[in-house]
Amino acid sequence: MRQSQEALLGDLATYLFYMIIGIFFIFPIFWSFSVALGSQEDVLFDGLRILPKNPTLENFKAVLAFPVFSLYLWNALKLSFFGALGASLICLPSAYAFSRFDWKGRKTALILILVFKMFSGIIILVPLYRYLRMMGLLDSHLVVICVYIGVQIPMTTWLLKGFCDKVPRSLEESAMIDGCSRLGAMFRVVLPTLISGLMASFIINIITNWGNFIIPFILLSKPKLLPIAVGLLKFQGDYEGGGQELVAAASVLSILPAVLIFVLLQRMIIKSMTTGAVKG
Amino acid sequence: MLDYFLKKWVSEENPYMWLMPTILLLGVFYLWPIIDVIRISFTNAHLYKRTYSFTFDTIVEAFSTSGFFETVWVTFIFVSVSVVGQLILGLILAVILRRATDRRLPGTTLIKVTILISWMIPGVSAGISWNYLLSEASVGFFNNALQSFGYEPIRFLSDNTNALISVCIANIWKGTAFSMIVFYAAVSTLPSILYAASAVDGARPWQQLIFITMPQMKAIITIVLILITIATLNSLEIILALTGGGPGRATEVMSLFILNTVFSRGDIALGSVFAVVLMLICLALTFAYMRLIELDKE
Repeated sequence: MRQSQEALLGDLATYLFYMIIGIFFIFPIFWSFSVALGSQEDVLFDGLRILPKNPTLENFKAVLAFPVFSLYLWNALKLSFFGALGASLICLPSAYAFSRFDWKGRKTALILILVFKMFSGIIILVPLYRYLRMMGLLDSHLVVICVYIGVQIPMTTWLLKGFCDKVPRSLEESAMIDGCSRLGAMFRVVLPTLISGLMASFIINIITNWGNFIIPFILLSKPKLLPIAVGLLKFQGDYEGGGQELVAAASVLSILPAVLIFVLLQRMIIKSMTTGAVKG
Repeated sequence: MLDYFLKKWVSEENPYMWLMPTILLLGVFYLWPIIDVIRISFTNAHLYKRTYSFTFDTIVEAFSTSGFFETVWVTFIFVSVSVVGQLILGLILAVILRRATDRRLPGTTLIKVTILISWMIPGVSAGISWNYLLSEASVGFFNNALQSFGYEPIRFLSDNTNALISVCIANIWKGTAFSMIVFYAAVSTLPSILYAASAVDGARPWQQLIFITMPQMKAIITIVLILITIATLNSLEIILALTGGGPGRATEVMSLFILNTVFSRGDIALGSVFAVVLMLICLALTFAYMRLIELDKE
């Protein structure tokens, strides 16, 4: 009896904790949303109001009507998509090599890749900016996509290697005995079983790229080329004096896609991210 | 001769063929920049001048630059407070979520997803959201609340100490999900027999936490500690959107300092020296991390 009473008390404490933690984590986003729903007057109103008096979606409409803002969203989508696609395509063969071949230095190479991951973007971007500028390659989406791919290689390789390891070698060995070349076996036998792994790495890449700030911030300067993460900061600066409700709407709009993808696919993302993060 | 090399190298059995794209990209976007940043730190190069010469002066200058040690200090506070906060909150959350999952308490997934959302959103948006909470203008939630209850407003972002605390809290908010989810996975693999046996011996839940859970998790806690230290050293967008490094330079961490030195002042040589310092710190942490991974395997 005492035991179960204690357990109930524990449950009660858990829910109390949930409440506090829930508020702490959701409130900042909620407040942005609330600011975004209000008018200029609501922003200037000094009293305490959790939600504006007359909530309206006008700010979202206004922000989306800015030609440059939809361009920011489009650019972010373009850069994230091609960055994710490129990283998955380039890391698939290397993940396969790490999983299937035994060569001298395999372990060292795997760890070396990990070391690269630990260097922050700013360290490599200082010299990169310098020589991209000398070559006249700044303000190019293609270059930014390549840097996205480069930066994501360590994580993606480790993630995909993990998925490759799960495919039994006997599958392709038997295909190779039946006359398939290694490449053929890879495409016909291994690839179909890797689809879910490729999807996972693709989506994690998309989410990471969507939030990437420092690379486009340094390598792009023309407003029409910026992705949303950088555009947002510019927006915040432009409207410092007034128009906070518009900036809030823009911020919420930049959050939405990432949140949407995450909530829909959270089980898969959490699983891949934890294994990928600890090992790679 | 050429034929022989082609046959030996261009073969699907040669792992290097499979690795070629990765090697090329890593070489161009990591290896070469890293070598170059070290090289530039031994010069007096400027972003907008064509010529430069090799010298040790920049390195000497770097360590006598006013503000460098302040920045190191700010970085130290920012990183240690954020990391300790993320670790402790993450651990508490993991243990509680684990127990709640075992007891099938409804709402547990909801709370987990809520926390993870803060991790998914772009850093700039996170900084802007916290700016709206803490702002001293009329948009700021907390000061509105304080004032409507009759209290004096607090200078969350314009006071040096407060601003530093604010960026730490915002960063804890953004990063806790990672340590939570890793710790949660680790707690889930602990053998339940340990808990059952100790319960028979009369161990209380908090005793189980201190004497069973913590010792078993030692390795993973240290690994997460190092990973989030590196991640925090590298994060700057949340600060950029929340305080912009200010007031003054009160929240200017090293990565932001490098950004300003190179791209506002054009002093790429000086920025490179700082970048090398940051790189060495990350490298030391990485080696510690790898040692631990190896120990964990044994």
